[in-house]
This record gives sequence, structure tokens and C-alpha cells, in this order.
Amino acid sequence: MIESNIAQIESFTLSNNIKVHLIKRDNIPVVTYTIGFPAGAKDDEQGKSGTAHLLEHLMFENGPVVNGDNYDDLLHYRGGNSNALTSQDYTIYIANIPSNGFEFLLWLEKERFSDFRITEESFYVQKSVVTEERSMYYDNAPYGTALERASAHLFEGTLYRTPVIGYREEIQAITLQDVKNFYEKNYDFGNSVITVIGDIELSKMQDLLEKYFGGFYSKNSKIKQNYLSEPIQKSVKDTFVDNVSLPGEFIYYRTPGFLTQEYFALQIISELIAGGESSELYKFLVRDKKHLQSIESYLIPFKYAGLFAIEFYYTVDGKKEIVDESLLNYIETIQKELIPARTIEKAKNKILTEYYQSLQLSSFLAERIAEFCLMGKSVDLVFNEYKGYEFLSAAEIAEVSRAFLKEDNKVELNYIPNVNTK
Amino acid sequence: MLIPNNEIIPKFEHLKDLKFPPYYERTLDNGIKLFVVEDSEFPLVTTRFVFKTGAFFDTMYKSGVAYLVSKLLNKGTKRFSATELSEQIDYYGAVVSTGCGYDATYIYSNCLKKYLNEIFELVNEIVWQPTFEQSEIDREKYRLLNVIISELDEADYLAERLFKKTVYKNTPYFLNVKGNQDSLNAITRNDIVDFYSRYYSPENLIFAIVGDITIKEVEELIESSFGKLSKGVAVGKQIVNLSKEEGININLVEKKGAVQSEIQIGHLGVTRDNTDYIKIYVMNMILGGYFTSRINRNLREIHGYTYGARSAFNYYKWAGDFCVDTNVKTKQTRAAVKEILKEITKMRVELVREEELETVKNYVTGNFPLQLETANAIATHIINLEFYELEKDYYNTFISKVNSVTREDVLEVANKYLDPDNISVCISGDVDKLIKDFESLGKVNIITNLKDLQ
Repeated sequence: MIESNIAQIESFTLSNNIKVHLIKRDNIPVVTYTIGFPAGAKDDEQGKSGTAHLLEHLMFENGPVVNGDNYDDLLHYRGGNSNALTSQDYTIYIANIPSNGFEFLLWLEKERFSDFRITEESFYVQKSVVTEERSMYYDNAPYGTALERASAHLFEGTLYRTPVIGYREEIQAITLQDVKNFYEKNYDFGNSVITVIGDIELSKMQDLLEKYFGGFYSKNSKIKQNYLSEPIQKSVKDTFVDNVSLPGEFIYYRTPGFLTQEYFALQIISELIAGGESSELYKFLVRDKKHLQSIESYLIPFKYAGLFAIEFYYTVDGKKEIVDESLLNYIETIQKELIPARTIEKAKNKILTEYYQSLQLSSFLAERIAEFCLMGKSVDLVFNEYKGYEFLSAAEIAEVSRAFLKEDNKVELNYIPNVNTK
Repeated sequence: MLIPNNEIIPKFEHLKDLKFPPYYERTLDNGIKLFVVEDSEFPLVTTRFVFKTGAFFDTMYKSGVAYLVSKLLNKGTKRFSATELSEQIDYYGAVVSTGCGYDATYIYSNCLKKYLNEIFELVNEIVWQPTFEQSEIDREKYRLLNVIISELDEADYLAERLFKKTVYKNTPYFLNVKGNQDSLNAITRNDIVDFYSRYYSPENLIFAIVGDITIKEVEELIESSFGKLSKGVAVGKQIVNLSKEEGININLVEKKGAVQSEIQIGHLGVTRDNTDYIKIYVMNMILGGYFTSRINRNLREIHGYTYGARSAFNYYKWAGDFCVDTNVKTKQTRAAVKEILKEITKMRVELVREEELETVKNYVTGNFPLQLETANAIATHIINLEFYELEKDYYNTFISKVNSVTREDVLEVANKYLDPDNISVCISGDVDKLIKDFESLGKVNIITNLKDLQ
């Protein structure tokens, strides 16, 4: 299906079972590298949410140290840069480096994952850094806590119930020993995935990677299966007075996970609800009746479940009754298969354009390949994902919306302005 | 631990200058600068119209005109209503967005190659034949009035507005691009039509097209669209009357329910055509330009005050500023400000370490190719070259220019362009708690009416 001229993925497994995926792309003399583990916030111990994410921060403090320079200093000296991300299901470390420094990067990686040598001092500094990260993105941001509040309801009794960043007081409760335990238990090289994209010699890669990563041993640990509780079977509705000037309404449904049959239908539904200024809800609620400033809709897919979100940002004159009624009516239209074929085709076109756009950056592509692997999907799907949308019919979309966009699978959170206090 | 010997790890080599990727350029008879970057990896085509105009040309009491004009372009043309336009654009799965900053206005489109003809025709209508109907103007004004109310809930927005108000005072760069409550109410359809006809001319336009397309195809598209439009008037050189800060001025604004402080510290800077540009760039990298810079290392890695801290020289077309920004715990705000001022001062009194300079050079030159990774990123660089009127060879010699900067150069530009004794400290946060800590540092000014920041 994909009409691109991008080179294909080459894959092999190292002697200790590390999975490797490569793409040669030599438009610039740079190599993008990632290493990922199927360990994330879902593996945080009860009462210690934020451990996986804090560990991600600390892996940049875990050596090597040469003449007082740490991992990032040494990498920057060689013209490279680094980043990392933690999700519910996995953790991925990323680096870009001029191709003549690639072997140096492999040495750095081997060193930093060889042992756990975090000091109390850097542990406390990073705990404080992470607390400020939480403040910035969640506690000090308008409507910033909606998602974690909803997840606590939707995923009650499952491993996805707590936020990746961690609750404020639970971050405080994490000890250095907790982080060390997490590392030893959950960072198993036998389950890890390496991707390399860029200016590389494919024929030399297996020997090179074996040389630096072959010494890590596989613990043969099992990736934690997420025990999913029964569907919530209740409608949760809550209102919070917050430091915002205008109301926000946040609606979430629990759904199936990454790349399931339902995933594709839900991506289309999010386009139907909020994809562009020609969507029915936008035309009525934002353009004509001016109840809303904007509408957002998106799917957050985890490995074993997902979360479908609809967000309404109100205007000063916005009427909640009308907004709620319009949404219900529109969902009913989807459920009764009354969406015109052209509108569904429109959503598919939009998804295809965005999909090509997203594969252009090597670092994004490398992350995507790692993500597919770590979520237990075949990497071939990275370039074939669009097939999942091609033959999706209005009837299938209706069926998914009937099964999941329903009242007893929904959490609605309203944030309203605090008018009196400062 | 030691770095293993050179037999194991290849020796470090300095990077050589990188040849800027090939592109096509031509000035049309009517003054439009045309750029084409071909790339067939994916079946996509992007078009970018950049007009050399923006909120800089708004007047004090009618701020928001330039932004309204840019947002109204796709809200109705000679042939199509706003809804008919969005219906078609969305159907083709395309993205068409419009907007402006102070100095530039853009109209961006991205679509699948197979729909390029349809989208290009629509975009051309949007750019050259907007109708600015009164009902659409009212609708857009109402939307903006709501947006500017919501923006005041954001800590970083408050600090940024406070900083701009303090540093740029009564110049156009202080005005809010989106306008304010009073100005939006005062703007008439005439203001909008006048602005459009005055500034949206071929003579003011840079046009770049990028992706799965050939030069021949581009020339055909242009021949059948804006190739024959008449010139119009170009925007000439502009003068801005700036006045420097005197002393250390503390400006505070309340962020409701703040759990941390958002800080912006700085003063006026330079324009992009400054001959010391590369030296300033390297100096700022060491100070606060990247993750292992002095400011981030101090505030984040040593003290744990913040998730991140950075400094930058920001460039507008006719002015510029120097700004350090970060967000920190309320009770550590004073300490963080003190550390920032200390780092700025240190840049002016001590030569940087050889190793520090070397790391920055390697980091900047090593990361430079990443800025040219996609055809669209290449186009951004070409547009900047044209927009800021830089020498044609600028990117081809970028790496060697960076590598030639010395420790003495860094000290010299730090002294010339950093001024920690005459500086604005702007903070949004819990004012009651902050005020006591800051009284000893300098004159404290508190903004109580948020409308003053709009």
C-alpha cells in the first residue's frame, strides 16, 4: 500500500536475544539510535507511581563519568544529542550522533547500562526535577489534571490507573532502593529492542552491535501482562473548581488497545468528531452557535487497553446543555450508520496524509518501530498500518461506537472557574 | 573509568563544512521569490507562502489587524464560503493553515501529491481572493476575545507578556499579536481590507514548494496562478525606537493557584544581521543554549530547582532581545534568579574553559545536519536566508564559522551584549510570597490588572 521510496527495515536478533531493526537512510551524515524496554509506568509498585519515569531520568546520571563529564557531556562533545520517553507500557532512550561517532555512542550505551551506580545526591536532585516537571505540565497548567483523574476511574483495578509522571506525594515516597529494584527487575536485555536509522553500513552492524551489547544477559523474564478489570459499567460525572477563566469539559471512554480492530475505527471516530473545521460538531458548536472555542478528540492506545478522549473548551457564552446534547446526537448518528460515506473517506484521507508526514524524521520513525515492537506488534506494520483503515466500513465504525462510546463506559469531568478567590 | 583507547573507539574528528542540499530558486517578474526543494521519499507536497508583514504593522489602538487578516483568508473567497473551503480541504485530507507573527505572515498547505492541483487552486483563492465578509470578521473577533481570556490562565504566557511589555515598552513588538479586548472591538472591516491590499503583494512574497514535485510542474502551476499578478509595493526598512532598561527591575504578576514561578529575565538584544551573530550564538550556547549549558546545569542538574532552564537571543526583523526562561518552586525563586544573574555576570568576567567551548562547537556542528533532515526543514532555512537577507553562502560555511570562534571572542561579545546590572526580572506566580524575597534585589513593580498584559 505505502507508496514511499523509503528503504525497507532489516531485522536480526543478537546472541542474547536483543531484537535489532535497521534502516539505511543517508541523506545526512547522522545516525539515530534507540534502545527500548517493555517496562513502564504499568510496572510501578503500588503507592510508588512515577518510579519508571524517575528511573528514565536517572539513567542519564548512571555513568560513564570521564574527568567529571557525564553521559550527556560526553555525547555532546561528540556532536550528539539524547532524549528518552516513558509510557505506561515501555521506556525508550534515543540518541542522534554524527555517523563518525556512532561507535562511541555504542560504548557510552554499554557503559551506562552495565551497572546501577546512582548516588543519593543525584537521586534527590532528579526527584526534585521531576516534581517541577509535574508542576509545569500538570499542577500549574490549566485543566492539567483531567487525564489522570479520569484514568483513576477508567482503569481502576488495572495497571494503567496511575499517571506516568506519578502523583505528587507518591513521587516523594520513592526511595533510591525502589528505583534500583525497578531497574533490576524490569530492565531485561532479553526483552529489549534496538533500532538504528541513518548513515550506516548495514553489513557491519551485526558484528558491531554484538561487540557492545552481546555481553548483556537475558534474564528470561516475562513481560508483565496487564490484568484488566471488568469494564467500569458506570457513568462517572464530576465537577472541579479550578484556576481557569472559562469552563472545560473532558469526556473519556475506555477502549481496546494499540492496533486492535477497534483502534482503527476509533481513530476515524476522533476525526469525525473533531477533525478539521468541516466536522459537524465544529460547524454547529464552534462556528454557528459559538458555545465553544475548540473541540479536541484523540485516542491514547496502550498495549492492553485505550482511552478515547473528547475535550470541549467553552466560550464566555457557552451552554453546557446544548454542547452535551449535540455530542449525544452526533454519537447516535455514528451508531446508526448515518455518517455519509464521503465523510468517512475524508477522515481516511486525513489520517493517510498525517501518517506519511510523521515518518519523515528518522528519530520519529525509530521511535515508532521501537514502539511497535515493545507493544508486541510486527514491525512490518509500521509501513502497512494504513491497511487497517482501507476497508473499514460505516457499519464497523458504528459497531465500535455502540460498544464503547456509551454512558456506562464514560467519565465526564467538568472544570469550572473559581470566581471569588484570587 | 577511562574512555577505551583509540583502537576500540574511533578517534574524534572535527566535522567539515556541509554542502547545503540543492534547491531551485528564481525571482519572478512581479518580484515573488520562488524556491523549490524536490524530495520524492513520500508522496506529499507542501506549499509555503510567506509575506513580509505582520503585527509589526498594527497600530497601538488597532492591534490584532494583521492577525485577523491572516485568520480570515480561509474564511471565504470569491467562489467559496468558509464552510465550502474547509469541506474541500478536509476531504482531500490536506492541511491548510494561516497565521502571522510580528514580521511574517504565512499560508501553509500540505497534501497528498495526487490532490495537489485541487489544493493549490484553493490555496491560491485563499491568498489572492479573500472576501472578508462582516459576519466572518465578527465570528473571528469573538473567537479571539475568548482565546485571549484563556491565555491569561497560563503561567508561561503571563511571564512572556510581562517580559515583552517591560523590554519592548511602547514599540510594536510589545503589542499582542492577537490584539486586546479594546482593540478588537475597535477594528473595522475597512482596517482589514486596507491592511490586506497594502501588504499582501507579490513584491512582499516568498513562495516555497517542497516535496514530490518537479521544477517543470512547479513552473506550470505558477504560470497558471500568481505568475502574472502585478508587483505592488515592497515593505522598506523600519526603525524601532527602543529604550534600554536602567537598573534591575522586578515585575511580578499573580498566577492564580501557582505551585511554581515562571521566570523570564533579560533585556534588549540585537537584530539578526549583527556581524557578531555567530559569536553571540556560540556564547549563548555555553551560557544557556542547550542541555549541558551553564544555566541548565546549575539550576537543574546541581540544584534541582527546575525541569529545565535556557537562555536565548531572540530575533525579530527590526529588533531583538536576550531572555533566560525557566520555572521553579515558589520558595526557590529568589535563589534561582540569583544563580541566573551570577551565571550571566560570570560570562563577562572570566574566559570560558577551552573544553566548554570545544564541546559547544562539536555539539552545534554535529547537530547542524539534523536541521537539514527533511525537505521542509531545508525550505525553512532557505526562507530564513531570504527573509533575513543573509549571504548566499551562509549555511555552506556555517560549520567553519562556528569552529573559528575563540574564547576571547566569547568574552568580548558577553561584555558587549549581556548586561546583568540593567535587566528586567519578570515572574508570574504567587505574588504575596514572592514580594518579600525580591524587595532587596531592586525596584518591584506589581501588575494587578491582567488587562494591562493583553
